[in-house]
This record gives sequence, structure tokens and C-alpha cells, in this order.
Amino acid sequence: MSSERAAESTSHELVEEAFELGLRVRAPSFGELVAEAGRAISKLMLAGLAGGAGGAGDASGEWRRFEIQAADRAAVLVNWLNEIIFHAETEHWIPTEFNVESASDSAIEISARGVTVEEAPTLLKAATFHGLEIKETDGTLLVEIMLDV
Amino acid sequence: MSTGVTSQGVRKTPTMYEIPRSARSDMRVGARVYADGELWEQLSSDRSLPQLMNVATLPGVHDWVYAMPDTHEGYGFPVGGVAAFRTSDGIISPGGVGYDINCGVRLLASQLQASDIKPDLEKLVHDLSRSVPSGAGRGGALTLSDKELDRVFSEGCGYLVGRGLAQPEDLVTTEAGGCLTDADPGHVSARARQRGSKQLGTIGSGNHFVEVQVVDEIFDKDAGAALGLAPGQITVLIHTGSRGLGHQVCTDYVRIMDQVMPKYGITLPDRQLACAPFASEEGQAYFGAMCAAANWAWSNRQVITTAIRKVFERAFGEAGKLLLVYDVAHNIAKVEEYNGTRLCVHRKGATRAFGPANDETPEAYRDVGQPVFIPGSMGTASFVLAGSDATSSLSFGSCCHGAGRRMSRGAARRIKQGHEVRRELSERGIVVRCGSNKELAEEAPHAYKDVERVVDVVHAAGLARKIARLRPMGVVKG
Repeated sequence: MSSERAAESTSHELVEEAFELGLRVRAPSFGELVAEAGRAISKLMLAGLAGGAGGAGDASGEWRRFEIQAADRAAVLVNWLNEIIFHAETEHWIPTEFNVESASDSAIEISARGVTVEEAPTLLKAATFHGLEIKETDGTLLVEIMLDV
Repeated sequence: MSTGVTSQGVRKTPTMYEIPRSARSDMRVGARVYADGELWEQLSSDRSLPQLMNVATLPGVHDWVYAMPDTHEGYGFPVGGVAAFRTSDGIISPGGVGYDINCGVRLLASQLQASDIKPDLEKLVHDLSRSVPSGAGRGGALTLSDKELDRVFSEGCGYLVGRGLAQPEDLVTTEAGGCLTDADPGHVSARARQRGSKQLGTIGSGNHFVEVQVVDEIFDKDAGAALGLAPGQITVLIHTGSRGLGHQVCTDYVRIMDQVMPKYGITLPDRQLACAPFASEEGQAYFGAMCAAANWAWSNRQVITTAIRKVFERAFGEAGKLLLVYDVAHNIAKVEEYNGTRLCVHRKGATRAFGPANDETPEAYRDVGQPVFIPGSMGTASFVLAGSDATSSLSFGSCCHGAGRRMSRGAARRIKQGHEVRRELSERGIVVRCGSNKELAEEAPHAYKDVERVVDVVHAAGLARKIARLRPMGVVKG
């Protein structure tokens, strides 16, 4: 797949299902799916903060490296998002730029840098397995992840 | 969306429906749902009933699984769900407790009348909002060292007596004395500790609040008197839980149990129901960590109580003294015995409602039953009820925990914006302090079921009986 087409098939949007909030994320590969889910959750947490922080160009500081291992892709994704939520709550640090180093069905190595905000970000409390299923259609992965807010 | 499950239910009484075990081949027990006709029909529009049936498939599930009248879709377990699992061959599930471990409600009673506070209501609510930190991720005035945190985990509210943050009599009217003795701080992760070390004494966000109320109506005069409640009296209701700490404990153990289930041969219809045998190493580790988080949550409500007491005493002197009526959890798993069988009873969005004869009902309430509090939505009434001895055979001694959401947060925002909600509450004389118009819109009364209807079902079904209705005057929201 060309990089242009890959970029076109990478996207995210907010979804509301019954009583909770979720993310619908599309990407051409699992690595890109993990990165795009990171971008989506970060954007959500930075929404509404004064100063408009949070664009990719605002990222600064050291790159941080993360290694997530789990039984399968769904668990890797949930654990990754919970990793971001933990840093947002405890340090007000929110990653906005991502660099996937390696990705398999049970592990991901990813670097990220982002912004540290003074004001408490819009906090999401946890990413859940609720109804989570990663589907593949015509070379595009699609997932919906529900968030506890 | 309709799940079609309501067609499988059979109305057994005016307030109870049964879904038989035969409704699905993987169900180990049947399901009982407390609802009237209208609440039952509302359940067809979400997945709470299929979720309840999923719970009925779990190993060691005992007798029946129950849904309370406020039930709605949750993660894995429905909110308002009650299920008991034999400690001998059953499971324990973090999803059956919920992310906000020991989210619960505490009622304080003053000797003040509504007329005493009305002239200064704005200032009172403002002072409360400044004294009790609220909002997502907000820290409190207390920062605990690791050793101090361990003592909160192990001793709960008892530790706070020595710190001058609780009165000894507060422990008597707190569920379990504000301390579950099975707590094991060693099973609380470093991350959970980090999230919990700075948040003691804070409300948080979402549907959590501190509300100043007036006793609007007493339905049972003698029971009201036993609880120290009379018409026109000012009360304060606190609704919060274990904040980021509880969420991290749940997140940690959903992950752990998700990994170990194959070892125990457990397969699930929904991965969010991740569980392990109660008696297993992982089951016991979660139980120890959950009890520690529950003790932290009771301590959280206790520290908030101390801050509120200071505000009231500054404003009203001796007349502003606040007595703790009771504090009860509605997201918890506890080991209890029913007809000689030890069960791990999971109450997720459900309140324990023990009767007068139960040893755990405080001595002072032995003629009444254990107090139960059902908060309404912001701007609507809350209710005080009391458990009955019959409840043990109706729902493992449980009843509902609130009005129950009936629409998503976004749908609520689309109906009415935060500033409109604020204005409407103000027009009704309710003072609101909430830093976020968005949160205000999401928690507006129209987002919730009719609490009066929910409470009437609880009363009619015999799960608990109505004692008093409390009307909001001032609200501090996260």
C-alpha cells in the first residue's frame, strides 16, 4: 500500500454507544492502529484546554519509549491506552507524536513525545474490553474501543 | 436498537420479571429483574439484559442473578446488577465490582432548618466548593506517604480517627466500620498507589457530588426519628468513590485475569467479565487489593466529611454540627453467607440493604434496618430507605443505587446545554457550583430515569422501604 493511501485509511472518530464514549479507529496496519488510537485519545483529553495545546507541532521534550506485551492485539491496544491514561492523570503528560518501532499480534514497541499541561486534562478513567473487536476489511483494520469516563 | 431479550422475560409479580435459565443454553442460573412495566420496556433499548444473562454463565454462580430497577448497560456486568458466586467453586470478577471500587453514598444530618441556611446558601455552597476539591484528576489537601497509604488500605476509617479526621462514632455508622479486614496492600500496584496518594478527600468528576438538602417528606415517622431525620431538617449527601486508585486496581486485575483464564478453563461471552476462581492466587490477590481500595474509598468520604463539618461549624457554630447517619457502598464484592453457603456477592451499582436482624446493621438501627440512600439526578429528590430481613431471599440483601442513566452523555448535551441547566436549577432555587458546563449538561435530570418510579418499585418489591425524601438546595459537582 502506498504511503498516501495508508494515510487516507488512517483515521479516528468519537462514537457514543448507549451510555458511554468510545473511539472508532481505522488504520492499514496494527502498528498504525495503535498510534492512531493514541492520537485519538490524546486529542480527546486535550479538547477544551485553554491555550489550544495538543497539536502534533506542540510536542516537545524527550521521546519516551513504551513496550506493551499482552495475549493478543485487543489486549495490547487496551493496555496501551490505559498506559496513556495513567501518565495523563499522574503527570498531566499527554503524547501527541508517535513512532511505532515494531508491532506484532502480542507486542508493540512505540516511542512518543507530547505535551505537559498545567490544567488537568479532560480525564478518561480507563479503556475497556467492552465489545472490543478488531476487524479487518480490504486491508484496513477497524476497532471500536469504549472508554470509562 | 432493541435487544429482543424482553420478549424472553415473564412477569411474575407487578415488580419482578424472570428470564428462565433455558433462555440461553450457556446460562447456569436464571435472571430476575425488578422493574415495573415501563422500566422493563426501557430495558429493551440497551444491552443490560443480555449482559445480565452473560453474568448467569459464569462459573459458580449461585441461585439467581438480579437486576435492580435502575439497571442499565455497563462494562461486562450491567450497572444495577447483583450476582453471588460460591467461594468454593465460583469466581471473582473485577468487572462485577466496577472501575470505581466502593463508589458509595454517605448522609450527614444537621440540626439546622432550611430557613437557617437559606439566606447564606450561596456562600455556604461556595465555601463547600472551595473546601472539597472536585473535578477530574484533582488532588486533595492530603498527600500520603507510602506508609500512611498502607495504613489507609489496611485500617480504613479507623486510621483517620488517630489523625483527627474521623470521630469514633463515625465508624459505628459506616458499613463494615469503614474497614474490610481482608485488605492486602501488598496486592495494590505501584501505579494504583501513585493515583491514590494525592486524591484522598476529593470528589472527582462525572456523577459525583456533595449536595446540601432539606428533608422534604417523611414516609415513616418512627424510622425517620430513629435515623435522626425530621421534616425541614438540613442534610448533606456525599457521593464519590475510590477515584483513580480504584480504576487502576480494576484495570490491573482485568489485565491479569484476562491472561490467566485459560489456565482455569474459563471461557467468557464478554471479555470485560474477566475473572478468576475466588480461591485462586489471582482471585485472592484481587480480593485483597479491592478491599484495600474499598477502605481508601470509605476514608475518602470520611476526609470529605471532615472538610464539610469545618465549613458548617464555621458558618453556624454548634448548630452546624453534622452527624453521620450512615455510609454505604454500591460497587463492591463481599463474602456473605446465605443458607449456610459462603458466597462472594458482587454488587455493581447496587446497595446492600440488610434488615434489622442482621448483625451488620448498626445497633442503633436494629428496629429499622440498615439505611439505604438512593440519590436522584442533580436537581431531583434523593431517598432514604431501610433494608428488610426479607431482602436476603429476594436479592442477596441488595437494592438499587440511584436513578440510573437513560441516555448517553452526548445525547444529554444535545438536549440542553450546561448554561441552560444551570439557569433552570437556579430558577428552582438550587445553587450549583460546577467548574464545567459540559459536565453539568451531561448530568442534567433528563439524562436519568425517574428516581421516584425506581424507588417505588424498590418499595413495592420489598427490597427496601421508603423512609424520607430529600430535596436538593445546593450542589457541588465535580
